[in-house]
Formats: sequence, C-alpha cells, structure tokens
Amino acid sequence: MDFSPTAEQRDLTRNVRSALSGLGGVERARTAFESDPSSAEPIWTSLAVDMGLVGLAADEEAGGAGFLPIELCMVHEELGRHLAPVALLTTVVTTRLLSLCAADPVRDRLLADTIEGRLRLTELLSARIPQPDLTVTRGDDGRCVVSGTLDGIWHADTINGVVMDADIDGAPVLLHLPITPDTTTRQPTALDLTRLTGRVQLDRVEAHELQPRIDLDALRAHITMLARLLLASEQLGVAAASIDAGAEWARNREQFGRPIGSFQAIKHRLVDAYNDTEAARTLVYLAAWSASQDAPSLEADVDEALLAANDAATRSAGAALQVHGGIGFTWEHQSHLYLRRSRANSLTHSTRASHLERIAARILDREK
Amino acid sequence: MDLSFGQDAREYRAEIRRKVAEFLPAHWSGIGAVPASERAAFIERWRGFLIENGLIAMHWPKEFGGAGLSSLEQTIVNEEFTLAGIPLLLTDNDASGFQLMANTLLVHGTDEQRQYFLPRILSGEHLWCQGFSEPGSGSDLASVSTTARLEDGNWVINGQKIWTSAGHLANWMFVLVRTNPDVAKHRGLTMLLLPMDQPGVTVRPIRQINGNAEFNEVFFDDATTPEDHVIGQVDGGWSVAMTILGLERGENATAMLLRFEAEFERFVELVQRLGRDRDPYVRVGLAEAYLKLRKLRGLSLRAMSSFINGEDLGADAAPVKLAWSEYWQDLTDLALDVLGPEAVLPTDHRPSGADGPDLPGSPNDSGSWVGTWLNSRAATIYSGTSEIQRNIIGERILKLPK
Repeated sequence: MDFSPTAEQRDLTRNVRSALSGLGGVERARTAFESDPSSAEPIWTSLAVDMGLVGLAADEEAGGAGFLPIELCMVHEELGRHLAPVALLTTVVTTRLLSLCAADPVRDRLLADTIEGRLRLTELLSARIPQPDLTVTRGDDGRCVVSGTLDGIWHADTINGVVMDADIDGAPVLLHLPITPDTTTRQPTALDLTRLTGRVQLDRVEAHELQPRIDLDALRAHITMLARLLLASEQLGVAAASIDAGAEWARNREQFGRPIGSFQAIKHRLVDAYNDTEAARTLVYLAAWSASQDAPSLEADVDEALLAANDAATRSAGAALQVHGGIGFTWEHQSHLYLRRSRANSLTHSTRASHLERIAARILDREK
Repeated sequence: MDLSFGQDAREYRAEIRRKVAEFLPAHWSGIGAVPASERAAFIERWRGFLIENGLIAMHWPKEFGGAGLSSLEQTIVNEEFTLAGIPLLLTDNDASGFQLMANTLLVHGTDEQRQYFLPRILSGEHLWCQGFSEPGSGSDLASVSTTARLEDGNWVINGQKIWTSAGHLANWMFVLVRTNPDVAKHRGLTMLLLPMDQPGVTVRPIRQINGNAEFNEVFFDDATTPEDHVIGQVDGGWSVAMTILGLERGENATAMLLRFEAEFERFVELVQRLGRDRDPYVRVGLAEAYLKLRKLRGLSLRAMSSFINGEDLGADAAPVKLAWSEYWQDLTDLALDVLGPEAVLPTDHRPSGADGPDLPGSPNDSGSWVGTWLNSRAATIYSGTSEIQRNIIGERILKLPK
C-alpha cells in the first residue's frame, strides 16, 4: 500500500506541468478563446505528438503504452491545473473506445493516428450532453448516414471525428463519423470559456460501422467510467490551481497592516477548500486503482470520486475568487475561468442531486 | 503508487484473524454486548492472549518487552482487532501510557528511564495521564503557568492542570511546567514525570455533558518529584511536548476508520428498521454522510500508507482529525432526526466513552445514538480543536502567515 507516485509517475507529472506552464499556462487558454484559437496548437503538439500521452489509453497490442488509468489521472490533473484548451480528454477516451473495437482497416488507422497525435476524436457514448437532433439511417448500400446537429461539442473546431452509438430498426450500431472544420461553429455563450465549445452540422455524413469486442452496454459503462474519472482528475487540478492562487494572494495582499492570509476567516476558507481537495484526490486515485484492476467496486468508486472532486473544485474556485476580492470579479483575472470550468464540469455527467440519490440507492435499496 | 496489500500482508492478516477467532467465545458480537460487570474480566483474559501471542505493546521494540511489529503489521493487527469489536486500549490510561508516554520515552528518554518505566507500563503498575492544559492554557499551550523549582534534589510543583483524561485513575503524570519565568515562553518549560499518590496532588473529576467524569482538574500544592524525573532537557520541555503532540503517526488511522464504517452500518440498519429509507431528506443526508465517510477512508488509507512506508505524517494528521470529528457530528446529528421524538426520551443505554463510536455489539437504540451525539461534540475540541487544526493546515501546508 503506497500512495506515493513512482519516480516515472513523478517525471510524467513534472514533464506535463512544465510543458504547459512553459507554453504560458492559463493565459494561453485565454488567448485561444479570446483571439487566436490556433495558439492552442503547440499544446496539442507537445502533449499528444511529442509526449505521446494518448497512448496511455490503449493496450500494447493496440499500439498503446498499456491502459494506465493512474497515469492518465495524473496527466488530466495537470490539464485542469492549466485549463489546457486541447481535446486530449475526449481523444483519450475515444482511443480507449476504439481499442475495444474489433480490428478493421478504418478502426486500425484511426487508432494509430490518435495514438500518434495526428487525429483528435470525441465520443457521445458517455452522454455528456444529450443530442436530440440527430437522424441515423441505413442506405440501400448498407452504409449508415448521419444528419443533424451536434451541440456543445468540446473543441469542435479541432475535432476530426465522433464515435457515437445509434439504434437502427431496433439494432444497436456503433459509428465513427468524420468531422471537418468547415462544418463547425464556435458556441461563444458556453459557460466554460476555455473548453472552446462548438456546434457541428452533419449533412448526410457517411459513417463507418465499428464492431465492439465487448457488449455495447459494457462498452458504454467502461467509457463512461473513464470519462468521469478523467473529468474528476481535471477537477483536482482546477481545485489545486485555485487554492494555490488564493493562498499566494492571501500571503501577499495586506490590509489593516497585515497579510490577509493571517485572518482566520480567510485562512480557514482556503483550508476547507484544501481539505476537500486532498480528500477528493485520495478518492480519485483509489478509483484509478480500481480501474487498473477492473475491481467490482469500480463504477461506485468513480461515481463517488467525481462527486467529491466536483465539490472540491467548485468550493476551491469559489474560495479563490472570494479571497481575491474585487480583482477576482474582473474579466482579466483568472478566477472566473476556473470558476466556470469547475461548475461546467460539475454539471457535465450528472447533477449533485442525482449523484447523492445514486449513493443512497446503492446503500438503502441494495437488498431490493 | 500501489493501493493494495501484498501477499505477505494478506497472509499475516489471515493468521491474526484466525488467532482472534480461536480466542473469542461463540456468538461474539463485540465488547459492547458483554455485560458491563463482565468486561474487566474479559479484558484481563484478552491481555493474557496478547502476552501469549507476543502482541502486547505492539509498537515497542522487543528489548523493552514490546512486540516489535513492523508498521504494516501494527496496522493489520489494529484493523483485525477493531473488526472483531475489541478495543485497542485495555484501560483508560493506555492512550497516555502505552502510546504517548512510552513513545516519548523511546524518543527522548534516558536508558535508565526506559528500563525503569517501560516494564511498569507493561505490567499495569504505572497508569499514566497527561498534564498539559491549564485553565489559562488551552490551545495556547506554551502559556502554561504551573511552576516547578529545584529544592534539595527535588522539583517542587505548584499550580493546576485541567481536562486531564483518566487522571482520577492514574498514578503517574507527565506534566509540562514552567521552570524558568525569565525567558521567552516556549523556552522556560520542562517535562516532568510525577508520582500522583502524594499529599501535594489533588484530583477532582469534572462531570461532562454526557454525565460521565472521564477528565479531571489536578491541583499541585508543593507536590514533589526527584530531580532526575525530567524527560528531555530542563527548559527543553517544549520540544518534548511537540513530540508528544506529533505522535499521531497513522497507526490507528484505519482502525478508527473501521469503527466509523461499522457505526455507519448501524446507522443504515436504524434507518431501515424505522422505515425512514424512503424519506428524501434522510436519503440526501445519508448520502452526504456517506460521501464524507468515503473521503475519510481515502485520507485514512493515505495516512496509513505514510505510516507503513515510514514517512512523517506531520501536518497531514490534521485533515484526518478534522474529517472524522466533523463527519461524526454530522452523522450522529442525522441519527437524531431519524429517531425523531424517540431521541427526546432515549433508552437508558449510554456509550461508555467519548473517544469514538459506541462499542461494537451495543444496542442500536436511541440511548446509544443520543449518547454518541453528545460525545461527538468533544471530538472537535480534544486533541486540538478544529480551529487549531485549520490553523495548522493553513500555516504549515498552505504557508499562510500566523
């Protein structure tokens, strides 16, 4: 039993962190949504091409580094810390999905290209956002064709494809559909500014039919688990960055002749955020361990870890903004970027009320 | 990162579990189900079991009569005893004697002190208590004003201590006193070892909100102890006190967690027995409490991991203490809502101590929960109040100014 990261894990965290801060950290995310989306490209190149981080999602026989949930969590913590405006989370999850599909030329090429960082993908199986406006039909040639609109797609303008499931005449199918930049538009009203959210217009897009190697429901459960686990890790980074910023401000900002961090009202608020975050961190890594062992408690572990991480991130981002005072409410300050990310993430897979009800049901309705 | 126990640990656990099961009587459900009049006899038999199996004073080195167990083995033994519903401490003085005093002697004591005191702790001849807090020195420990002066080869002590747990049962006290009033307050303190059975020491029990009297006022009126009964240096008592307060190293982190997990199961049973499991308020409250329990589990496992890997827990002990004490108040408060009017006129069962959940095997009734609810109020005060714990985290981890 050892919670400490190994030397390799420490190096991984350090390398991702120094790459992201070397590229300007959260200020690059601001540039990406305010003026120049292409400013995010060096981040993608660094993480996905140079460091090959997508490979952490696929087994070795699929061309990856072996499925390594703990390492993936460490990486996503750093992404959250810097609000890195790239489609790594969705690409990692979709790569995992592809690795659990039967080999065919299209799937093999997609998998190889994502692992090498040449393609960015997303998926709809983990149901982050409902997509009611989609029609999937099978043509006379047997191929599936998709039309309609995809809303709220993360990093839509850099995504190359979407994996989704559909029901055609009562039969479930799993599809990959290619996306091109000319079919996407940014949705600037998105709560989370640094996620670069967009809409995709699909006009009779020909899809490739994938064959899952496991039952589709089991695949969906696995993919949803992974998406939630990585989002929880991202929330840890959001929380940690907020606490760091709040504590640094509280150490330096003076009022009444003292640093405001010496006042217990300020100190204890930051400590409560810190405690929430540390507790959530232990749950996230215990859940990542369960994922690496495919433990029977995995689904519940991830569910609880995500709830704890959501609470930690929203509390920490809120505390940091409050501690900064008026500065924290300005557009120029980073506080609102973290506040927005923390809250948008917390609503992405499940509301707090449904989280709690699932816990209650697991405990109270278990014999029924 | 490896969040599992290895094969050796699993085998050791199985061996301990088998030995405990062989010792315990049939239909055992925990110490709480043993009639109060028979508990002392059971504890004596259990002491015999511990001695016979080399498990008494499990963290002491073998040369002093301890079991010399590794950190991992201590953790496993503590967990297995707790799962079996057996208290880890045999007497109310063991927390001060076996743990605080003995560990401090092992760090700061002289060879003579270790050879004299440790065997007497082991045999139960010396029952220890801790003399730190005073009426004017609670969280601000360095302000203690009880004095000691040297006179003819003896320390002569005057003043008063308060909140002395199990002081009425103790015959020795390690006591923090002021030996030099002319230097900065942290520098003039000394840790003395004081026999309590003497005319200069008066112990007066204090009745608590739960009706029990587990702590005391202790008055010193020219009390004496020999000159060499100093632990550490004269005027160096502050660092000894800090050692004692820092002795929470994580060995009990998971055992405490297991007590809370067992208590939560009792709570679920209560909710279902009273038919409150469809009440939306109870469901939300239960889920919130469970989330806190899971967070406590994560923090406790991490503290245990630090302990078994020989890392200093340091300020990381504070989040664990905060987590369990505040969780415990929330859960017991919710239990009162579940009980409703029954909690206003509870049964006559009362939990025996305020150190944690009611004893395993105790009746799962209103008396148990009302008593535990009262007891839980102490948890955010003793061993460093929640406010002090937050200051420690803020100052030592977040580097916020004092």
